[in-house]
Amino acid sequence: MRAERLTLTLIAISLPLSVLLSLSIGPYRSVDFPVVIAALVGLPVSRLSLDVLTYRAVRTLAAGVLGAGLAVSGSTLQFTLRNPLADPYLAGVASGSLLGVTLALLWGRASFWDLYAAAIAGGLLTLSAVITISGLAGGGAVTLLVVGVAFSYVMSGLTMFFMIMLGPRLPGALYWMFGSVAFVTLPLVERTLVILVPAAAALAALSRPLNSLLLGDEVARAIGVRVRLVRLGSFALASLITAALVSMAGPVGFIGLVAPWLAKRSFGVRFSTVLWASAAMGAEIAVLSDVIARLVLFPSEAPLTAVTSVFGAPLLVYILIKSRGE
Amino acid sequence: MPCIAAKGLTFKVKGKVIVEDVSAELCGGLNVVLGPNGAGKTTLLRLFAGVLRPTQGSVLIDGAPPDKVRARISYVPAQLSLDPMTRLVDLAEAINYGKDGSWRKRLREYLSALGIEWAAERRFSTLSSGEQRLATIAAALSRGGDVIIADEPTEFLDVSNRAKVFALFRGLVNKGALVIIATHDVRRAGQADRVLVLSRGVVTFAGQPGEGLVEALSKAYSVDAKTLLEA
Amino acid sequence: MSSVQRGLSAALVVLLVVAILLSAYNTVQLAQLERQVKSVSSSVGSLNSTIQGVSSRVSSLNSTIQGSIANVNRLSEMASALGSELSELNVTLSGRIASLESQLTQLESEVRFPVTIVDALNRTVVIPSMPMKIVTLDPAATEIALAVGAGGQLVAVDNDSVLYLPPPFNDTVHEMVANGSLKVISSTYSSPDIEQIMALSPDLVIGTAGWGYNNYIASTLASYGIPVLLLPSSESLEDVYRAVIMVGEATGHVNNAVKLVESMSAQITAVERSLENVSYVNATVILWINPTYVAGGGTFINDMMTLAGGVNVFQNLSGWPVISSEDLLQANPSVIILVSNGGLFNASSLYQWLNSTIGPAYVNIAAIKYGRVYVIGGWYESAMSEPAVLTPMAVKLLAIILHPQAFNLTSVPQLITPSTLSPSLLANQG
Repeated sequence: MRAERLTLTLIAISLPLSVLLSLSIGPYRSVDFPVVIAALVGLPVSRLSLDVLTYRAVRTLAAGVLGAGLAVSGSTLQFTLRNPLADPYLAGVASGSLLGVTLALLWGRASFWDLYAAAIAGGLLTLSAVITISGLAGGGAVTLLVVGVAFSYVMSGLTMFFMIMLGPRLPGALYWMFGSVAFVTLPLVERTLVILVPAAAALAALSRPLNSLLLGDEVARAIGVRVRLVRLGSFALASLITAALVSMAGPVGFIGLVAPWLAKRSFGVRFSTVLWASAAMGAEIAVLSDVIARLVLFPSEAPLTAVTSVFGAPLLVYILIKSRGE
Repeated sequence: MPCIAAKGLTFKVKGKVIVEDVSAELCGGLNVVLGPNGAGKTTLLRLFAGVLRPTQGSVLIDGAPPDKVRARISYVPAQLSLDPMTRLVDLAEAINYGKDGSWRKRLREYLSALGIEWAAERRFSTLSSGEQRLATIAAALSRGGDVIIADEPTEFLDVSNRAKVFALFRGLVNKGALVIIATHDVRRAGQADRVLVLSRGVVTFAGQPGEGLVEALSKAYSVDAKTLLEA
Repeated sequence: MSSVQRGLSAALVVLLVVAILLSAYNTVQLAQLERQVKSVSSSVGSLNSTIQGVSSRVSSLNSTIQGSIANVNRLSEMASALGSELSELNVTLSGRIASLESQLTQLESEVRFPVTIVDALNRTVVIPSMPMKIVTLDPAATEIALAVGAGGQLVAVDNDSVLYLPPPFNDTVHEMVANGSLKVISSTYSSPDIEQIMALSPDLVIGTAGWGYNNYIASTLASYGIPVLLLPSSESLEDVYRAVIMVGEATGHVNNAVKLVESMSAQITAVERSLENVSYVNATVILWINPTYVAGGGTFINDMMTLAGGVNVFQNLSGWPVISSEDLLQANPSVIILVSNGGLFNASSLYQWLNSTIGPAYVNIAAIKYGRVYVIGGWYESAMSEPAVLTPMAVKLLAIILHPQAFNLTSVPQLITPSTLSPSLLANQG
């Protein structure tokens, strides 16, 4: 209980602090911590400062949504597939989105919204294919895993195939290869939330049966859980969230793997708790990673995925070692 | 007193027969299923609990199939592979799917009856195998059902804990529950109200513990009676 | 006093009176300037020449007077003092005229603003008034902006523009960066930074669509009310013309833009005329060796090759395909043009790659057999690969390589850089 309370307090304090930090840091040094406070309190600040602050705020929001969403997706997949190493990209959604974008570029589409739509379409099609094929093959956890990974490779291969044809249009696809929140606009975040919020709500509604999947398929079935439905449904919802997030900001790794772990460590393996706890932790990790991304090569920016991987991997190893030792 | 009635219960997997034509009626009491490895004990128990559907035949609990009376069944599985960070309470909560919050109180009662109240908030993986067994039993029992089906409940347990578990089951039987246990612990057979001996999927003995039991057991285990009693 | 002295004094008095009268006259005129700018300008001009004439007459008068008559000295001192006061007045007046003239140009262009342009991605870009704080995102945009005369309105360019522009644009940019009138933002290809751009409070941002992260920069900046103009990413000469006109409209230099397009197309026409009777030559342009990228069909370079009297042997492949040495052997171009990539590749790099893959058979390729392999280096590379203002030069370069005799050249050096093939050869003769 003490550990739980400690963690809760930690999150409650550090989340707003991270947000403040994120607002105060950026290449335009004139907008720093005092300016942030002034603006929040309501004192007048220059138009330019307001614009820069708005930009940073949208970015921070996007990072928070990204981190929370990935954590929710990762947690769900870890519970539904009974695999603590499951991550949000298992269904091959990221590769599917990239393929969609590559094809759209080849067909001459270049505006951001066109490519965004192509990314979502690619992700959704891949997801549907994975679910359908897994469903036909029994719908078990291992099946979903294997089919998802297989599709991931197929999509990546196809993408490589088509990318060579892109030539000078290649940079257009880079956005969906290296995740970043630098270019996310408010309408984009809104569109993502339109998908994210209902999906997360649906998952919350599925908490109890999803939770009981941890007993194993057979025992779960014995106590009344509609295992196949719950598994396929939660897999679909989680991957839908991933598709929306990848289309918004490109693929960002590790958060979806690490945040659920951290939540489980502090609060135990209970889906309804892990759902929001990992979301809060994921949001925080993402915001802090974005801050680090802006600091590490100041005043240039490092790609967000690079930061989460470089800092996330050792963190994961540390968690693993610590839990084995107990 | 709940009654479980099996008629011509058969279970096949890919043509291989695991359980064949088992018919039995067990009403209340402490029922023990004995048999060597691979005899089909686990499968039989799963069929009773409604975890598996029979290929042929039927299982009825007070006239209803197991999936209609889920709330009354507390199934203790032989093994559980859990996420390393699962805590005892998480396991219990998961098992109590579809039930209200009264399970927490029952869990505490059973945990103290088995002497492991301190383990409630602990991670399952930090407990010893014996403690894990006790914990699984307590979690399953917290469902509060009157039909208790336990697969190898005394595995990994030392003598005093085995006694505790059997005492617990006896106590439940006295309160009107039906308890069915699969076990290797041949010596406990003497404490049972009824014994079923399963050999290669077929019931070779069904009745109260006595002379015929030892014979049936030696046939099932392919050892002579003397070795069996000394084991 | 003698009559000469009387005359001199009279002349001086007259001069003083005239000067004062004229000053008064000009001051009054300045107050009514909007309607009389031109007449003031010419009046001052003639006044200036009159004053200069008078001042020089005074000086010559001064020099004819020998001797050290105090009056004459004082006279000459007063005359030169007067002369310098008058030229100061002239300078002040000319300065006022000049600033008024630029205000007039601004007024002229303000008549054209606000401007609405539909850019390369079909976005409607509205520029409310003449932009004076322009940021360019890539070398092509910078080049075009400078070429239409908007250099004075630039406030920042991207890092690649500092590194990769051809002359004379690179000199202009370096000068402006050195004297602090131009800032440099990080490359939009490798490390784009929104905040840097926002911090400059630009009133117009120009970039080539699809280059680096430009498209994303555009959509993000748009939500802060900053107009971003995305130029067509050139796949043909028409795209370049469109881009030039767009930039001209957006920056208030439509006339210059139109003239530039006219001159560019005139240069191309001149090249075409020189190529009137030549037959097409099979050629290929190689951009990288191992993996070997060539310019395929539907690319800008393909267009240029056609204009230069060549047939791209790889035009049936679109984009920038990777080819094998077998493909090259099969295609058998008569001319191979290799882009050196800053000195990374030369003819022997090509031969080495060919030899290591298809062995000595490579000498059968027509271009190699007849010694028509050329390497392009120096800033000619930028002109070739960056479709913008210098494209007609690049077309002429290609034409000279493919058909030297049409330009009265017997041969062309194998390594073609600004030092081996003079840029003056590529200059326009309308």
